[in-house]
Amino acid sequence: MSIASRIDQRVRGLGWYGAFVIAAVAVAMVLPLVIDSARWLTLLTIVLIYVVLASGLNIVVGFTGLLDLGYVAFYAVGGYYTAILFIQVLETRFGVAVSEVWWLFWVNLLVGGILASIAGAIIGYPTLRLRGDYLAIMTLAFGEIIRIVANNWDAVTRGPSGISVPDPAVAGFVFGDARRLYWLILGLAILSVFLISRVIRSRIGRAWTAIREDEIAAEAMGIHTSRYKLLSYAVGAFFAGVMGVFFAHYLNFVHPSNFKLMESILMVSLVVLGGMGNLIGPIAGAVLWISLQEYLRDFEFIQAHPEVRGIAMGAVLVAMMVLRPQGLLGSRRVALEMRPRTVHQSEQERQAVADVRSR
Amino acid sequence: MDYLIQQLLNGLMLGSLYALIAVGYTMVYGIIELINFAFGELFMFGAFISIAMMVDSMAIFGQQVNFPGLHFLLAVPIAMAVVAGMGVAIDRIAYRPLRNAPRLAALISAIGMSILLQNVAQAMFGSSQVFFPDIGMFTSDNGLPKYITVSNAQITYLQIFVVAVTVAAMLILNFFVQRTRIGRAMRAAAQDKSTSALMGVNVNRVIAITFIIGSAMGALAGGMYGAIYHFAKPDMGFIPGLKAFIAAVLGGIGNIPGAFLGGITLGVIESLGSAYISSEYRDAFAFVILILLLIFKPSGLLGSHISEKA
Repeated sequence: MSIASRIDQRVRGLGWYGAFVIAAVAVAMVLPLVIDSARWLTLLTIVLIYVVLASGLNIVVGFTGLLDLGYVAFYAVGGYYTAILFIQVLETRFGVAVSEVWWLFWVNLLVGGILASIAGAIIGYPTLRLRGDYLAIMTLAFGEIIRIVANNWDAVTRGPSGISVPDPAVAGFVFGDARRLYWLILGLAILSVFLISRVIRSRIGRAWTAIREDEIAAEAMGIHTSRYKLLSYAVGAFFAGVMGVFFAHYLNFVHPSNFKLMESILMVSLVVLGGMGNLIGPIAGAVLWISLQEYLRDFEFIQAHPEVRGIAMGAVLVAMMVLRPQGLLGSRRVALEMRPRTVHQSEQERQAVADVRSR
Repeated sequence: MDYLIQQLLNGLMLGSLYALIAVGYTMVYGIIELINFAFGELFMFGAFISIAMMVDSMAIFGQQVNFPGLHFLLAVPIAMAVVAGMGVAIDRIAYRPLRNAPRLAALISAIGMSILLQNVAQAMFGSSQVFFPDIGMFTSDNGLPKYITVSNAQITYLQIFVVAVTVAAMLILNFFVQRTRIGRAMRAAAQDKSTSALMGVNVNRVIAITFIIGSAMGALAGGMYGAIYHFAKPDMGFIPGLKAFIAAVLGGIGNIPGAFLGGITLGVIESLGSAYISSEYRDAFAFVILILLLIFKPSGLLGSHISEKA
C-alpha cells in the first residue's frame, strides 16, 4: 500500500469528529498570530488552564461518578510545590539563581502532578469502603485544610504574603510574554486532553464507567472497585497538580486566596455545564463559562456585585441537575443513566401497563 | 484548671450549636441519604432573619427596610418559621425532582443550592459582617455579661441558656420521633422508603417535615450563634455546616441522640484543641476527626453499621 493511500485511509477514518478536532486545534494554534492583544491572549490562556482542570476533574466526577469538591487543593499542591522548591529552597536556602535551574520547571510539571496524585490517593483512601458521598466531604475538608495550612505555615509558604515565582523557560528562552505562554499552555492542554481521551477508552476507563453505572455490578464483573476508584482520584488529581505548577509560573505568584473553595465549585460547574462523562463537555463548559466570566469582569455591575457569579454558579448546578443532568453536550448514555428512575423503566413497559389498564 | 473548665464550657456551648445543625443533616441523611449542604446556609439565614426581626431598620439589597424590633425570644421563633419554609422550598425545587436519580445528581444539586443561598445572602445583606444586637436578657447594667462563678470559673448566663435550649430541643425532638405518629412514619421511611409508602406513609410529606425540623433547628442555632458572637455574615454557615455534618457522622448518622453527642464531642475537642494545641488550625481538628472516624469507625459512636449501598 502506498503512503498516499495510507494517509488517505487515515483521514477518512477520522470522520467528522476527528476533522473537527484537528480544525479546532489548528485554529487554536494560529490564533495568537491573528490576535495581537495581550488581554485576549491572557483570557485564552486562562480558558485553557480551566479546560485542563475541568477535563481532569471530569475523570473523577464524570467518568467515575464521584463528587470531588476539593479539586483546587491538588491545584494548590502543584503550585506551592514549585514555588517552594524554586524560591524557598533553591534560591533562599541554597542561593541558587533560578535562571540556572530553569529546566526544573519541566521536571516540576511532572513531579507536581505526581505529588498531587499521591495526595488524591491519600484523601480518597478512607472513603473507599463507604458511600461515595463521603468523598465529597473529605475532599471539601482537604481543600479547606490545604488553604488553612498555606495561610498559616509562614516558614514554608510565607502565609498570606504569598511567594513570587519566575516565568517558565527553556535554555534561556523565557516564556515571558502572553503569546509564548499561550502556546505553552496550548501544548499542555492538547497533551492532557489527548492522554485523558486515551485513558478513558482504555480498560481502566471502561472500569471507571462501570463503577459509575453500577458499583455492585462492576464488582461482580471482577472489577477491583477500590483500586480503580483510587486510581481515578489519583489520575484526576495529577492533572490539577500539573496545572498548579503551570499556574504558579504563569501568574508569577502563589497565594492562599488563589485556592478558595469557590474555585473547586467553579470547576465542578464547568464539568456539569458542559456534560459529565463526556470528553468534549468540560472543554465546552470551560470555554463558554470562563470566557464569559473574564469578559464580564470589567463590567461595573459585576465589579460591584461579585456575588452574581456565585448565584449563577449555584443556579447552573441546580438547574442542570434537575433539567438536563447530562449537560449541554451530554452523551445519550449519561442522559439515560441520570434520569430519575420511575417504577416503569422503559417506554414499552409504560405502554404495556397502559394497555392492561384500558382493557 | 479554671482555664480548662472555661474551655470545656466554651466547647459545650459551641458543641450545642453544632448539635442543633447536625439534627438536620442526620435526619435528612437518615431518610433520603443526601448530604444537604444547604443546612449551613439555613443556619446563616437564621442568624440574619433574627437580626432583621430585632432591629428597627436594616439594609436589604441596599435599601433601608423597616423592621419590627422584636425581642430575641420572639425574633428567633419567627426566624425558625421562615427558615423552615425555605427548607421545604429547597427540597421541593432542588431535591424532590432528583429523588430517584443517581446520588451524584442530588449531591451536586445540594452543593449548588448551598452556593446559591450563600451568594443570595451576600446580595441581600452585603458581604461584610452585620452586627447582631445584644439580646439584653443576660447582660447586666454595666454592659458586661451576667455570670455565676463555680470554683473560680465564670459561667455566663448565656452559656447556660444555649446549652439548656439545646438540651430541651433535643428532648422534645426525641420524644417527637419516638412517640408520635409522624415520628413513627419518619422512622419507617428511614428504614425503607418504598415499603413504608406501601403501608400508607406519605413519604414526601415525611421528608418535608424532616426538612422543616432540620431547618428550624439550624435557624435556632443561627440565632443563638448571633447572640453569642454578635455578628452575622453570608459565609458564616459553610464551615459550621460542614462541622455539623462531621458531628452527625461522629454520633452515627441517622441518629438524633448521636447528633447531640457528636456535636458536643466535636465542640469540646475543637475548643480544647484550639486552646492547647493551635488556634490557627482550629478548623482542621474537625477534619482530622473525620478522617480518623472514616478509617476506624465509620458507623460513628452510636450508629449501627451502614452498608455500602442501600
